[in-house]
Amino acid sequence: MRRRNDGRSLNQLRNIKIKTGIDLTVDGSCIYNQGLTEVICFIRGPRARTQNNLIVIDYSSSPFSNIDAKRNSSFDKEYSMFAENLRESFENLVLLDERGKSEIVVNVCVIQNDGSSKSAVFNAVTIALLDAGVRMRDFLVSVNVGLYQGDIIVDMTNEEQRDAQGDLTISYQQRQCKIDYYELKTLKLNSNEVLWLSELAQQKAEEVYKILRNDILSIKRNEL
Amino acid sequence: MKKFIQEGILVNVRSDGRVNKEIRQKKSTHGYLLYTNGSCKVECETIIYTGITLELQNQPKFSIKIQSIKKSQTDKQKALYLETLLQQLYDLDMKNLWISEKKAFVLNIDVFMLAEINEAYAELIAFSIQNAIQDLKFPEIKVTQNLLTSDEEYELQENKFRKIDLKIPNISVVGQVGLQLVKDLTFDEFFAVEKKYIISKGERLQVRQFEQIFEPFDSDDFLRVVQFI
Repeated sequence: MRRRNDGRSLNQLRNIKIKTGIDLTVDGSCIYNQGLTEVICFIRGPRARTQNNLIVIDYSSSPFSNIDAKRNSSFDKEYSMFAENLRESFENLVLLDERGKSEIVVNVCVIQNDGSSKSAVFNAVTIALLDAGVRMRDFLVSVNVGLYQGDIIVDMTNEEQRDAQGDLTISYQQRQCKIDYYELKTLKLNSNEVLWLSELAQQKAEEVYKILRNDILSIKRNEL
Repeated sequence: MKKFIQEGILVNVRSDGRVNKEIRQKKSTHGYLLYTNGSCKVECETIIYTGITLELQNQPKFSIKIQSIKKSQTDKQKALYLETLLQQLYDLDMKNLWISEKKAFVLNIDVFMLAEINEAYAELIAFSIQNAIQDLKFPEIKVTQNLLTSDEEYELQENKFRKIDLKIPNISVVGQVGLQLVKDLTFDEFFAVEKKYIISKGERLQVRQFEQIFEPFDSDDFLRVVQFI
């Protein structure tokens, strides 16, 4: 079986490690590691609303997250678009008060980007919201798949993402079995390849869901 | 709370059970970040990531930038204060950073912390920077001269590193309550003590009082602090 540069098989996810409750001054927090990709998320709220949106997202990356990391990431168009996507995804999921007078503030930062950082961000926010005890309609997970050197692979590293012919990131609502966010970056893919990527992404999202669910349950059981 | 901490320090008992001279265990992981030339992750009261990236410019220098995931209104002011203070205290010997007559290394030190930026974390930030500098690897650069244009050309030698001794001073913060001095202050202790000194101990010894950097202070206090450290 063909192995990738880091020794994984084509279908293998990297090790996922989560750590919650890292900061007791906020309502929910989480450090999410997927291989060498590290994302930190802090949740404040629900609290009294100060802005128009139900969820306020502050998405950024640290200056040393990647070789191309810029200092002023909040002014970058790609960052602001992704932050908007995050906000929409989670606004559809969270269940706050009926009068709509609450808000949740989400600070999420990519400490180190070794590939699949967008899917790591989605997963980190989900875990942090669970740590904060925010009620949600569904369990949102995310995964990244791609076409690299003719092979369909899962959970790409930074090196693989740079040279991939196709790069698909999805976020998936596990209970309703619906894809919520779908971003495909491609040079040239035929319709079959797009279909295979989408199917593999959904399968792997189920696998990520099981891993995250087991991890968060064991953390919370140990806390009790 | 403030009085509780002060009274404890006076009898050599701190709120976390330590004595006045005792320092906390800090977990530090070197080489944590991939895309840096030197890095460190420090876990103590909060988590601080420090990454150092190198550039080549006409003059050697180093710059410190402090950021936090938590943003507040006084963020920028406090970051600027800490950056300026630490740059003054880190009186690094820049002569070793020259690689040729025209080019030298520039150290960009980025500090990222998970707590709000506050002067109470000055010692922890300094500890993190010190560890990152210890982890720093300077790449070997081959300098040649272009015979046509007589300009210098620089070639990075892969997997080869040069050793540059930067002689980093040790920076610590000492608090004073009455005549008692206390090391390694926690966040609450920092705001509870009557006076706070920041000390840089390297080739030169620098002692400054927080918030009164440009004013002279009592010589007895100075002697007491120097003996304490």
